[in-house]
Amino acid sequence: MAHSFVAKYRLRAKSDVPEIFQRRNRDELSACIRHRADTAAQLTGSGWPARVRITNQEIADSCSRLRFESSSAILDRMYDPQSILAYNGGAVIAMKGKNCVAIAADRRFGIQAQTIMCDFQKIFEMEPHLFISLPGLATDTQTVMERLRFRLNLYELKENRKIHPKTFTAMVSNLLYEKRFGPYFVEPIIAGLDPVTFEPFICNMDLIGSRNMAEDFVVGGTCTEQLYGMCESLYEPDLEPNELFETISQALVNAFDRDAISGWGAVVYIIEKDKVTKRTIKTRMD
Amino acid sequence: MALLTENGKGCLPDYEVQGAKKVSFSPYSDNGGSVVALAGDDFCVIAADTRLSTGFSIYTREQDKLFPLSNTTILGCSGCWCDTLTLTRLLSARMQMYKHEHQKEMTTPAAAQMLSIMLYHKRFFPYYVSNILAGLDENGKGCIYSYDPIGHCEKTTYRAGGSAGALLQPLLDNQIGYKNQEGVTPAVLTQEKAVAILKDVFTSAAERDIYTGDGISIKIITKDGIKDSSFALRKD
Repeated sequence: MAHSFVAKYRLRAKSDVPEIFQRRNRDELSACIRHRADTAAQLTGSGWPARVRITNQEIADSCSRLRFESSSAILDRMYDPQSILAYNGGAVIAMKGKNCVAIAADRRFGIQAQTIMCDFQKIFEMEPHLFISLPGLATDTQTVMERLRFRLNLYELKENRKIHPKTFTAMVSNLLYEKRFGPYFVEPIIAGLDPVTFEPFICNMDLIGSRNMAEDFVVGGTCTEQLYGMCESLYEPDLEPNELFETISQALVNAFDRDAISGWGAVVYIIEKDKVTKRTIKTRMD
Repeated sequence: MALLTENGKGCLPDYEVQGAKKVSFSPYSDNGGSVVALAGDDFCVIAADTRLSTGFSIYTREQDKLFPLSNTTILGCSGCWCDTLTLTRLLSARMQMYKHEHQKEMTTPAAAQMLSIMLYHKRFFPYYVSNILAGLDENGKGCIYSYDPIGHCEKTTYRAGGSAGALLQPLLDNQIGYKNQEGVTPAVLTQEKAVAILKDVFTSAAERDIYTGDGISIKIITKDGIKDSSFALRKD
């Protein structure tokens, strides 16, 4: 905490980042030379030695230390991911049931506290049995969805078969990690059934693609704390589709009612082997 | 002007000076903890977890965070533990002063008002404490007051506060407040149901909140006095 504050302060005080790093680089190397000289002088007991050599290892150490410091400083300066992920607001859950999965999201699109629309799409059908939701920065929601659709089309043309949810998750994770140092601000949630075995599958990941394949439920968006609290109490394994619908809806709606930038309607998909049901839920609109 | 010429670039020098050390002192710490209170028609039940922690380490697994202020009023505190200690010491002193001056115990609504004022008196160096005050009012009805650190006060019938407040409040809305439920006639809250729900919500919170766990201490306030009980939570 203290470190990041100092780094931010330093970069704000002087915006010329590379020069600072160069200066610090010089300082570090000269400190290194002085130390070596002093040590050598002490060892020989004859004042300054004729020549001080800096080993390649020392230079490499110094540089890697510097690179580590500068990369974290640059990330600090770039943006605080929390504020960007909470710019538009949103809440999403996915839950496993008995031979079915459900995925649900709110419908608000806003700019900070100002609500723009109440029928914003956050869940996308990638395959008849495969859905993805990308809560986070709305522009990235749409961009990432379109890039995924493109990659998915290529995959299916090349392979001539339906993608497995697990493979699709790897695809999403890959796409996000490609932007490791300038990420898309979305935290995807994937829900689907295996195209062959119809095994339920849910997964969520962070904005750079670290995967979490859960056995029960996953949540995302700006009210994850509330969602976790609801799910942790309401969820039980092996629910039938209609019970799963009730559980996921109650969890979502009650959670986002305690979040000022989520809500304004909700949509729930229940995905079964031979049926996908989409329901929109009436909620309080404030 | 000397600064400008000294720097040689026609601009003021950087604030960051070689060899300058920044020292910082942070007067607050977050010691975690959660408090939940539920009010019924003739009782009030308040519970707090018993973990006292900082960051990833646990100071103790058996710290009571409920402070009886009178026979009908209990304060639950979480947040900065040192502020909790100071605040509760001052509060009990004020309760005693009131008793000597007026020859009677302070009522719960009066204590609630006093707490709000005491918190606001530290408006610009607040007690970093999330307070929930539970008790019986003059008519023996359960009442709960919840606060922010600078003394905003709200009277409710159910409240979750502290580190797992965000996890628990929507659940209480749903299960106690019957929010988003249609065609259900709200049942009157009984002591048994209140205690059962408390145990459930704390068990859930302990799953996801690292600052909540180890156990809970429960206090049930009725006109006959205060009943104590406890319940174990996961300790990891």
